[in-house]
Amino acid sequence: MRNRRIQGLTLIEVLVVVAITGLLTVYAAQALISGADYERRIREASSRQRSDVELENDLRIFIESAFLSLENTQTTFFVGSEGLLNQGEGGSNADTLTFTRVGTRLSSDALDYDDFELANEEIGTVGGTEEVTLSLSPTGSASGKTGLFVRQQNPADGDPSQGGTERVLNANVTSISYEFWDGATWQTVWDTRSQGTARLPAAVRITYRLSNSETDRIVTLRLRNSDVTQDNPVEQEQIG
Amino acid sequence: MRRNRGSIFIFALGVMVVLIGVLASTVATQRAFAQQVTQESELIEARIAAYAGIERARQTLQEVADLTSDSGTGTTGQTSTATTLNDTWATLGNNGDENFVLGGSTFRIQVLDACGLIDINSATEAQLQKLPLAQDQIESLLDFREGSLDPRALGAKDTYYNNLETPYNTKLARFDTFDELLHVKGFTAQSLYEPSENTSGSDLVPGRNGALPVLYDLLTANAYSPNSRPDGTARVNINAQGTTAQTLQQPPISIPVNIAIQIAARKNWGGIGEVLALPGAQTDDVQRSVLDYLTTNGATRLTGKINLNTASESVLSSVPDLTPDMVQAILQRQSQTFTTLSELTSIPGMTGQALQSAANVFTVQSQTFLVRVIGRHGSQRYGVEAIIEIRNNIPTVVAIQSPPFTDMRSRWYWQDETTTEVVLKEAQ
Repeated sequence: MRNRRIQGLTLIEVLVVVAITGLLTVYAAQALISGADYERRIREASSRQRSDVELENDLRIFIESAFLSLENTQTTFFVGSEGLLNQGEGGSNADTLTFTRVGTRLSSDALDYDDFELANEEIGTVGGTEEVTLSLSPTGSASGKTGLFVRQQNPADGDPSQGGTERVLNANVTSISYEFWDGATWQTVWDTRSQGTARLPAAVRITYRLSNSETDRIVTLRLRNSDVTQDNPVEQEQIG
Repeated sequence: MRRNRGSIFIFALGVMVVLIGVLASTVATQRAFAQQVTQESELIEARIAAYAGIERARQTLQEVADLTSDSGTGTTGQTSTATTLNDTWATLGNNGDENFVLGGSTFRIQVLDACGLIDINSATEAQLQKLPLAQDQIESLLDFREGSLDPRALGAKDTYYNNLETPYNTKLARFDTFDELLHVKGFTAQSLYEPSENTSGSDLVPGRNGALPVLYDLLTANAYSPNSRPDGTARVNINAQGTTAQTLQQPPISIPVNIAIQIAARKNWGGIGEVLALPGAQTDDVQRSVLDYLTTNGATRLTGKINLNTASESVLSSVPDLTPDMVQAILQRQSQTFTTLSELTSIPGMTGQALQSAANVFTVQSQTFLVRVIGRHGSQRYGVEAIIEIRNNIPTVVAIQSPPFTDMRSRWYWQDETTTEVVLKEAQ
């Protein structure tokens, strides 16, 4: 009797153990597979969101640092217009934004230069006012590239049609348009050069779509150095 | 049997180790991912806190707008409309030493009077020569902002800038920002933001606490002040055709007839300091009238005047013809406030050439302020610099930008850690 007990387990005991182990394994595998799947989906969603965040961040850095000088009205401006894409149709939102901004960050390398010409040669021109154009149609040659182009020219020279360097800011953008808050309504175009007193819009509303998405996204950026408010709107010229 | 059992134990242990390893690596990647997302959202919170700081500064500066407004607040019984370091804006944030708590975020703030700095748009050659600048830098700076197409001997115009590796045109107009100096021949980031050695050979302005001066601490491109009397009423423009000798004789100006005739006869006065050089204009009464009531400019605001109440020793030392003794006397007087420009005459030795120079340079009111803010949330910080101008009695943000470097706390001379806390909204 004593020996039998030591010899091992009954068949039923073994079966129970196998059943429990199997059950546990199935649950564990299920949890692992669905967990991995969930993670993959989260990552996809967040990467989609990240490309939105990335684009909106880039746009915010440029547009929120827009700058107008009351004195240098020729070299500083803020123009949202219908560019090449919508030309002639009229009534649609601006698709090209050209403006001047300040506050380019300097790299700590810039501090190493004590020679003006060497710094000009190696790091280019920095500081002061910079001209920025944001558009799907490049100012220069696209050389086969598509997406949202940014043209940057430092110093701003008052001629938004050329000069500077151009690159693709975001290759995934398939459409983009801009609207401008004048204190009362959203305007489809904005041109400080035709205003009596040049004023920045209070906010810019950007509608865009990315290639990996089927819906438009809207982001509204506030220009904190605009003096346009509800109580102090931009008087729009009455046409007709 | 025993050996068998041992091997099963080791096998089980091995499986456990592998499983734990897999688990740990999954957790690690998840964590890094989560951390990145957290940092991004913290940076957004920090940015919002920094903007809240700008808004706080704007609200505080409304006080200055109310005091220096030119629409009837200059009532009797109002003792001073001068802009001074005793004002609320100047003590706001205690030079970045106070930590404003805004829920889960915080911000630190400092407001500077731009009129306490030297305006690169109005500084004269004599004034620039007192700064740590070489003569070619001075001449290039003047060439860059002046409309003339002919360069000075050591300066530069288009023929120079057009032939650079990255070419551009000479601005031939006022500077918009301080860092625009980087476009001027001879200026680099090093010369703007790092302490400068004395290379000019003449006596230079002292730096902060006796250290070498840093141009970033001394210069600005925007410094406006009201072109009005301290009570808010307009000054009389002696270059205006309508200003006659009779205008100048009427009270409260009350300039004696012979001097009034001389003033009214000329319409190309370069500054009120020149009037003080007229024969017979050295009496206390005439000096007071000239300093407090007259202007040579019809604009409603003046460009680049230095505020006697807020200028530092370095900035005061840059004014031509001022001796170190006069600079010290002005600094001591600042705590009692210069309420009018004519109080300059109470400074020992402030007569003749020194007074004439000072009359053209100084003011006692300011309209432009620099705001420096660092917002913080968790591990993330967001720095921002803003220029706030008082326009039509409303403090208006005219420029807002990222600071040039990431180590701004030390460049602004802020302590690493704050010592006091101001709770605007309790942390949740």
